[in-house]
Amino acid sequence: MLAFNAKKTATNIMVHFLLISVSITCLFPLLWMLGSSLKTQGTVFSDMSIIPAQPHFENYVTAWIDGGFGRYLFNSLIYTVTVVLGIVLVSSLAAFAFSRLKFPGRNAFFIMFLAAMMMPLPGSFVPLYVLMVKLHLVNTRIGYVLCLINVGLSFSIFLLKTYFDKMPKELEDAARIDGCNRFGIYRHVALPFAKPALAVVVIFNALNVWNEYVLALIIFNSKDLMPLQRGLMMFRGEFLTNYPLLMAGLTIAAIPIIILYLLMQKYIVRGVISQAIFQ
Amino acid sequence: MFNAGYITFIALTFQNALALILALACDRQMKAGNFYRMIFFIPPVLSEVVVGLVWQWIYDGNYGLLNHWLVALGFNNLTKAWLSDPHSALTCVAIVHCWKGFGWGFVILLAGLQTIPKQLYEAARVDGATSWQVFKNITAPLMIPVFVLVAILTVLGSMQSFVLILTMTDGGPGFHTEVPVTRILNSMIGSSRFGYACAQSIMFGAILLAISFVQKRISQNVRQT
Repeated sequence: MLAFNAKKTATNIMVHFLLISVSITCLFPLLWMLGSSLKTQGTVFSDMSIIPAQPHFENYVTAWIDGGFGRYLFNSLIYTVTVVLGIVLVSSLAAFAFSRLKFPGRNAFFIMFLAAMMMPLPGSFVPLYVLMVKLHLVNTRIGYVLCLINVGLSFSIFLLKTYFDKMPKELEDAARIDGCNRFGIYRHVALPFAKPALAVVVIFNALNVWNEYVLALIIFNSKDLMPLQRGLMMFRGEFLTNYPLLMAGLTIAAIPIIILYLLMQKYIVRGVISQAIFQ
Repeated sequence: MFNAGYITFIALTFQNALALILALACDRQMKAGNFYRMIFFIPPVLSEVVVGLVWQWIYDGNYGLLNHWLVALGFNNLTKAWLSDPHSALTCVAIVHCWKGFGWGFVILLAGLQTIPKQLYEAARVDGATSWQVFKNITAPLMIPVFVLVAILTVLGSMQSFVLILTMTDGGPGFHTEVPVTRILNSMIGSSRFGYACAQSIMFGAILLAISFVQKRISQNVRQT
């Protein structure tokens, strides 16, 4: 028995050793980014420690003002909020219709809807760009927002529809007896019922929009409109070898997402898993 | 196309093997498991631009951390400009791709592992099965649908990944890290040949769709058996 326990402990130690070393590998580049952002151009190449002896916060000020990070951050916030609102509005209405209303060709429409959006983005962004040019929406906020809403819709509709399908018929009937019309049922019964799924839709899409790069690359050429990820690349072009400054910019871009992730971990993980099943 | 295939191959083997090992390790003890999951999933939530730019500096030939450490450990002759050397650039990018991606596979595999009923393991233990036998006869067969799913998504995701390449090497040196999407972007933004870019894009989209159809067929067959 003793030998068995000793063997078990040894296995446990090995397992933890493996897990901890991988954890360090995960976190190390980020810690280094944070540490380097507090160094100056003079000390960054000589001082290779993670935590600098004398932290300098000037990089953040420079990045925020000269690098335009205040503006990029503001743009990213606007895009994220409007896109997520748009997705929630359109996808919940569409999913409700697909799940609860009876109209001819419902399933055919639903499948067409999903199939049209199964096309991966790299296969479709060139035509999308041409379309944007034709509609005079290139280099406008509204064009970017519309594109991103479109990108996020299919998964959100699918997720919400499966949730609405689980809603008991009795709830709907009870609401109808109480005098709700169809929109009332959507507003007062279905939406509260689907709250957990809505949370996944919101968080998951917020994350995707915040990290989106390729559409921002092709749609914007004016710096005033660019979101953070695109701004970072512009920033790198301007301050090519000033690594501490660049790292400060990267930290500004990474921190909101890490905080969001730590707070909303449950929903993000759930979103990842349901997206995997969706595909 | 070859480069994307190479990255996909590395991701399919190393990234998923790592994800599987870690998921198996975490499946044993639930309490610490959630903590590790939290850390492993940080790289996947970060944007590819941030990840690419940080790693680009780590690999940098003159000022990079990797070379600094190699010198410190006494391997002076191993130092090089990792990303501008045609021999190492693609592998370096692939490694970062795995670093960013394994947490994602880990989360899905772990979720799959947790759906396996615990009674099966207990029964096997009572019968005196070794850990390897348990894995081979219980875990692996039940996990096959999840394996297939992760494999499909890894292939599709890796074929399409390009932001890391854009930020780290921009397709260079020469065309040694060029992948389909960076090529499309080049013909579109670099030389404004929209018709050509469209054709490339549609071809690439068709290939991706074909891959996913083939894989879906395979996974259906697997599910039936």
